[in-house]
Amino acid sequence: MDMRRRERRDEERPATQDTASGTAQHDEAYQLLDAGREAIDRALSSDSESFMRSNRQQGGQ
Amino acid sequence: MKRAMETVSRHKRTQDRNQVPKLCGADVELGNFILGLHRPEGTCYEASHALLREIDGLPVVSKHHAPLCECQLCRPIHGSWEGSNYGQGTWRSDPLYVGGSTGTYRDSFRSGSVVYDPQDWGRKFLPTNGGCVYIDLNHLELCVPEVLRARDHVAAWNAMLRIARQALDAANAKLPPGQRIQLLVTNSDGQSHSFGSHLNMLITRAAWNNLFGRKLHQMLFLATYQISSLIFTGAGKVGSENRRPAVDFQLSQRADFFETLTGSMTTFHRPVINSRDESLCGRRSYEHSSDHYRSRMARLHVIFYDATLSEVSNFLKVGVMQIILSMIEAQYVNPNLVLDDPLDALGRWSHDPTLTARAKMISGRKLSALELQFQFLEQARRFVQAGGCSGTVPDCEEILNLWEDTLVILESRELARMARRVDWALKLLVIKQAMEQRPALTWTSPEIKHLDQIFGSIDPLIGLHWAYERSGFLERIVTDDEVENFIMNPPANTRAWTRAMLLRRAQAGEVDDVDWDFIEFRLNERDGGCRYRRLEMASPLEHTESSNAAVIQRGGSLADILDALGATDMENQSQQIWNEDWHSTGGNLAHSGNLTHSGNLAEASTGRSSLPAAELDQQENPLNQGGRNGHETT
Repeated sequence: MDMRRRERRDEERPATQDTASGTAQHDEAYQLLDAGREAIDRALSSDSESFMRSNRQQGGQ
Repeated sequence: MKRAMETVSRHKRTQDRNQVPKLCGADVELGNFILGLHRPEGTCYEASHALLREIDGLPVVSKHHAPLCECQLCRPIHGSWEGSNYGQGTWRSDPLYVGGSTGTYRDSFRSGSVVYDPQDWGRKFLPTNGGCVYIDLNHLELCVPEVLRARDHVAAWNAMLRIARQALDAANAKLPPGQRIQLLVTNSDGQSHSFGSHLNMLITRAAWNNLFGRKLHQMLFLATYQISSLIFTGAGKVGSENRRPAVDFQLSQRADFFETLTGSMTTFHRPVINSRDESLCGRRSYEHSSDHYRSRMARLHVIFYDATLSEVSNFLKVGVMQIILSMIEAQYVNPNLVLDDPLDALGRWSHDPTLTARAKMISGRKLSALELQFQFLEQARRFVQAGGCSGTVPDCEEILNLWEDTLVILESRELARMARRVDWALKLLVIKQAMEQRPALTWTSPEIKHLDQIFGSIDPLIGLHWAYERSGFLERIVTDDEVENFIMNPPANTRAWTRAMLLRRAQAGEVDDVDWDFIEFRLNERDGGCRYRRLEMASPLEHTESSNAAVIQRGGSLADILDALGATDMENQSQQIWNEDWHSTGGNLAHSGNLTHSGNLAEASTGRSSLPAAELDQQENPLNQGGRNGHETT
């Protein structure tokens, strides 16, 4: 494996790619991602501050 | 019979070249609390105890955690922690508790046949799959039974999650209205409290000695691999903790909490490479004594990784680690693949979801984690192609191919593709989606931290991961049937099989104590007395279905089965064990085990192992391009 080639390609590449604009594969992935929308909505509409106040864990290993 | 012979032959071949199959176990602490119940100190205690009550396991009451027992076995131990009421809610009177009101426990120690670990409470081994559940510092902890294949680890880990889910449903059904236990696969509460998920990997004692006492560049090689592997093993986290630089999102839950390269601690000053020397392969006092499994094997306690849910991530976490440890065992270590400052690299790479940050190698070159992983992959492929993983890592070609394919996907930086395989990428994608939905939200909004936490909720209606799994978005490694199998059955090719079978055969009250490498029974005699029997299972590779099924399925009493398996009578053994350890430690229990972790390096550096240093036969090992004594290749 030519690592110099790999590093060069790495430098030429934008740091991130916009996931919303993509191929048909991406569109399909986004449709599947909608599967989580209900759970997301449920979480966003619940009392997040209360959740975080209650979520006080003991430090462990 | 043929299968058994093949297994033995395979094990013999690997022993001949001083390697062992890369058996893997895991112990994972979960986040738990009761939503709707308020306590100033939090509700971890109540939640973890309510959950453990719903899990069936043995022993019903451990002699080490019950009120002090006056039997012959327990009496000598009392003095070491008299006054403590472990499990009764007054822990801080425990002599092993250090650090005042905000302190913690020191690590466990092992004495003779008795393990006393102040962090463990209510340990229950499962007659179903041979795994274990207990409470560790008020976290429900799931222990995955020992397996040989990475694929089996994925199935067994998911099985343990389903067992925990059943306990969650049962415990929640008993709570008053308005209260609900939250059970989270995570490693931090977002408020600087971290808890672990550990892999336990079988390696040779010689490899252990090299890692911690003789060839420290091998430890650096391992640390460099682990740190750069965050790109596919991270669970993802919103923000930073433990006084680390602020960041919106990072790859790892745990990275902020590692403060040193190596050490024995696990609850504070956490090391990247943990040096806890507790093999769980027989009594410690025998580990250097004879040419036996107990002297040949060690357990690498890997505390570095996040608890993840993606099956691809979990498969690679275990599978690639199996290959890397096989390389280390064979001394196929490239000293150029070593970071100049591993802890600095850990911070940089975890805080960089763009995967572009570079860190300095000892050679002076600067590489990204992705570039470094490609180099590890290249080395590993050569090693596997030359037969280096034969007999030690099942499915190694499959692991390599999926590893490479995943790195290529990560190289694309296409988050939607990465999210199918890697937890942090899915979590980031979900949060970005939520922020698009509600533009008022920012990275510091409680709603976003809430999403971060419930991403790994075990409750299928709440946990975001499960919603994507149900939809088919996530790539799977195992089938539901394989997972279901490990809910009810142990792995057939490790000692977990015999553990589970014997626990099933025992009547209530007959199991006196269980640990990974032994079971002790209390069998009633006809004269009204009782007899204590102990079955040693020092080698995790023995006591498999193929070796013990005939004995166990033949029937007869439990006593007959134990006789056939070679269990010993404890009446004489217990006093002998006690005397040995008492005298060998100068009468000081605290010096008999892991409390003297600082001694690990010194002990290892004396090279007291009965085995020669790991080396592959130059004639047979095309990988070894160095000198006769197994110099590293570059």
